[in-house]
Amino acid sequence: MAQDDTRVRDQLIEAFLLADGPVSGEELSHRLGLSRTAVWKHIKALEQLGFAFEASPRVGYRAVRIPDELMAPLVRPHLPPDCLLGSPILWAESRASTNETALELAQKGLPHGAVVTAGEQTGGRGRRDRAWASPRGGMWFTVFVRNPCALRHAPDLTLLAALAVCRALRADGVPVEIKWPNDILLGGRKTGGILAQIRAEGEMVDHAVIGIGLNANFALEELPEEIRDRATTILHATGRPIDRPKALAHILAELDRLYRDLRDGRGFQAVHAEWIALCSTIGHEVEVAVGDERVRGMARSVEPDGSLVIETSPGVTRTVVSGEVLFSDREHI
Amino acid sequence: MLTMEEIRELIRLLDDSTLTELELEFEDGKVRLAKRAEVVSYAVPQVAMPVAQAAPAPAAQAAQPTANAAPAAVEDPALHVITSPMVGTFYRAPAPDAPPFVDVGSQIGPKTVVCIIEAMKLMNEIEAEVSGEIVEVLAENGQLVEYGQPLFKVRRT
Repeated sequence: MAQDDTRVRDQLIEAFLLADGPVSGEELSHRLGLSRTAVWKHIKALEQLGFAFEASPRVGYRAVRIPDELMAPLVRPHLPPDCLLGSPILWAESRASTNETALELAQKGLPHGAVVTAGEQTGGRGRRDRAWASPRGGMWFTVFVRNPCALRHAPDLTLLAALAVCRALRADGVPVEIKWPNDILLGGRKTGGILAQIRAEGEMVDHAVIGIGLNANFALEELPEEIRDRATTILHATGRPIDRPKALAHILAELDRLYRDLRDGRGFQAVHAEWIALCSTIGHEVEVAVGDERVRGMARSVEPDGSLVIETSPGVTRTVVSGEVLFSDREHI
Repeated sequence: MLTMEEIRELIRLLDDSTLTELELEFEDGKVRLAKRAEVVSYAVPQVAMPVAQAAPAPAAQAAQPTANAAPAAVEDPALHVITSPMVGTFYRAPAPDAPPFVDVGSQIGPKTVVCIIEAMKLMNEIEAEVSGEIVEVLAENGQLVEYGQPLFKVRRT
């Protein structure tokens, strides 16, 4: 969809959100500077996206159903006024990958705080290019930041993103936990993942895309069969859907706070204790793939720099900065 | 000056706090304590970094960690060594079954991505920062690399 169409669509949605009752076609056409035929076309387009309107002759249109997509006009009312993240919010019905779009737009001057969202991803990717199922009903978004921190603190970006997701969802009654370094678990099963890509300039991070995917409001059956025993969705696990635009706003608000502190030199270390309390990996037997090597042992702690300490034999520990926790004694942690 | 017991107490306080360093000045001297990678700067001898690594000056307190990982000086001035800017896993390709970003003989420009270093699911796409030809790959795919570890040798053009 062209940039202009997106802008008109967002303005139109806003007009309906702000209206107390029906809005006349004439008023809409005046407000948007478009012909009434053009307004009607945009309304038809919104219906394709899940909106429903009641049209009464001589009175106008009234929105009777507003879908909970991650669109700017639906997210923004829930953002704190001083939030630096969430402007603009670029939604599309379908994208190959929100990280990919953000990286492309980064070359064209995408501003700090922009968020790229999608109704679905057709080429969602996890670590090492593994496919990440991203059907409708999930939350698929990428936060774009410029000059967030020094390169040596870059891992904080993903650790803090996991914390922001936990804070926001837990405040909404969804008891998620973190699997080191940044998977989001619900009842011990994976319900979210974070993948960050950065470009550095000398000792500084020039820009970063923080891709976050959450299995929110869709049935477990939408996920590939081979991961259904280890993955879950918020809807499946809690029996109720979450308000996605509101949840996104809350995540962005938390993340904004954490990233501002990071810029001021108070990154992961400053929230270390809170993070550890949310990390379900600690205290369990794990096997971590570090490159081609496997490190087995008891996950003892997470260091203030984010690395995982594994006790490989009594009294012998190994600290890993990279890698993936493959399994543990308690299922799915 | 402080007694050993007082210093131990300070260390315990620092350990339990979110501070990364603590500096106290007394009439007869000063004590500076810093955590982990924040190497106490005056204790570290200046290490000559290779010329090509002339990165912008890091923040004042950012003493270079693991100075011993710095590569040996390259003798041929046309040769440049691309080093790892961080600790992490070295990946030569964007995906396990994808061709490598670059190989021996590849022509590169400053913006060419030569590899990915991963730490905690953060993918750092490393740009060459020089123009030339890759003459040697110095690290194994999937290997853990240290800060400053040589990754590629480049003949500049």
